[in-house]
Amino acid sequence: MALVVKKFFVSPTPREDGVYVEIVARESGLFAWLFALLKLDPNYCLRILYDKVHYESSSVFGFSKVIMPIHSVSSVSFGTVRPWKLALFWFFLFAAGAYAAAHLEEMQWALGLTVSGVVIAILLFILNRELTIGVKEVTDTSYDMTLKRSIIEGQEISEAKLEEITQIFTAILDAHKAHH
Amino acid sequence: MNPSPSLHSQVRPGPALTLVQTKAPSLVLNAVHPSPALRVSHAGLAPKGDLSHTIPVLVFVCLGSLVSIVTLPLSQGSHWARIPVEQLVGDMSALTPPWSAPEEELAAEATVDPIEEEIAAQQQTQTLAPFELLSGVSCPAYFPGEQASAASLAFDEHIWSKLSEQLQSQATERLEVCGPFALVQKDLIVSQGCVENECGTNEVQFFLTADNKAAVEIYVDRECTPSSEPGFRYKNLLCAPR
Repeated sequence: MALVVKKFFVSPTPREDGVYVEIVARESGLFAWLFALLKLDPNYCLRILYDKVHYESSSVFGFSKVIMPIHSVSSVSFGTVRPWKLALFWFFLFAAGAYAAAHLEEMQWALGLTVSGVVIAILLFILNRELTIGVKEVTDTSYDMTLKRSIIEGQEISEAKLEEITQIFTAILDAHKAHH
Repeated sequence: MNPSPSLHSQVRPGPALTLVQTKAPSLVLNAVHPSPALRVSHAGLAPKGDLSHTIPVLVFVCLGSLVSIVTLPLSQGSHWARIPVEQLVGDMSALTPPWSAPEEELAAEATVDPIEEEIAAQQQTQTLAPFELLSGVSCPAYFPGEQASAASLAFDEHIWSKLSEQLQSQATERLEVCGPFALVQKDLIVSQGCVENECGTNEVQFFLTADNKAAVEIYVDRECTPSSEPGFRYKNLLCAPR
C-alpha cells in the first residue's frame, strides 16, 4: 500500500541532530488520516545519518526499529510508477460519455464531460503517481517506502528529490573513505 | 621394502597466557558523531521534476481537444463524426455466416417456386426501413388515403401521424402537385412538394432521416413554417432560401 508523506527533509548540510535525510510517512486514505489526528496511525520513518541508517515502523499494535551501520547498507534504490493506464481509462470513459451526449445533441453535457475527463485524468495521474525509495542491507533485507501525494497534507516528493537522497548517500560513503 | 621412519612426538611449548581481563571501554550512549556538510551535484535534477507533470497535462489537454473537435460539431447536428450505429447493427444482422446455411437449404433455394419468390419479395419490402421504402416514391403512392401500400403505411406512421391537425390540413391543401421523395443527404430524403406552380409560395415539403426523425416545412403565401420532431439533425435545411 502506498504511503503519503507527512514530513520530508533532505539536505547535504546535516540538521542539528545529524540527520541528512528524513522521510516520515503514514498509510494513505481518509481513515488513516483520521487515525493520524489521534496519533494512532501506522507510521513509517527512514533517517540517514552520517554513520547510521534508521528505519522505523510503528502502529497502535507496536513498533519495529532497525538501526544499520552505514557500511552494512549495500544499496539505496529509488524509482517511480506513472499511472498512465488508469488515467487513460477514466479519460476514455468520460470521452465515451461525451460522444453519447453529442449524439443526443446535448452540447453542454458533451463539453462538460470532456472537460471533466481531462481534469479527472490529470488529477488521477498526479495523485496516483507512486515513488519508491529504499535501502538494502548486505544481508539482502530491504527497507522500502512507496510514496504518493496526499490530497490532505499536499506534500509531494519529486523524482529529483529522491535522486538527491541517493547522491547524499554516496557522498556520505565517500566522506567515510576519505576519513579512513 | 623400506623400513618405516621413526616418529618423534615433540610437544611444542605454547605461549604464556595472561589471564588479566581486558577492560571494556566506557561507552557514551546517544553520542552524535559530527556530520560533515556534503557536496552534492544538483546538475540534471530539476528538469525531470518539472516535466513529470507538464507532459501528462499536455497529453490530456490535447486528447480533450481532439474529443471536443469530434463531439462539439456532432452535438450541433453535424453529420461527419456520427457513427451510423443503427445502420451498422442492421448490416451486421443481415449478414449470415457461411456455416449457418447448410447444403440442403442451398439446394432448396435453387428450386424455389415463383409464389414463394413473391412472398419473399413482400417480406423483404416489410423489412425495409421507412427511409428506403419512401425513397423515389411520389405522393400518390404514399399519401394517406390514396392506396394502402407499404410506403403509405410508413409515411403515415413516421411523418403524417407526427403532424398537428392544423399542419395536416395545410399540407393536404398543398399536395396536389408533388414530386417523389429524393435523397438529398446520405441519410435524408425530402419530398419535392412543388413541381409546377406556386413554388416557394404555397407548398409543402416532408423530410425524413434514416433514423426516422421527421420534419415538415409549409409555405403559406411565401411565409415558411418549419416543424420538426426532437432529434431531427437537419434543422438548418428547413425553410432555407432556394
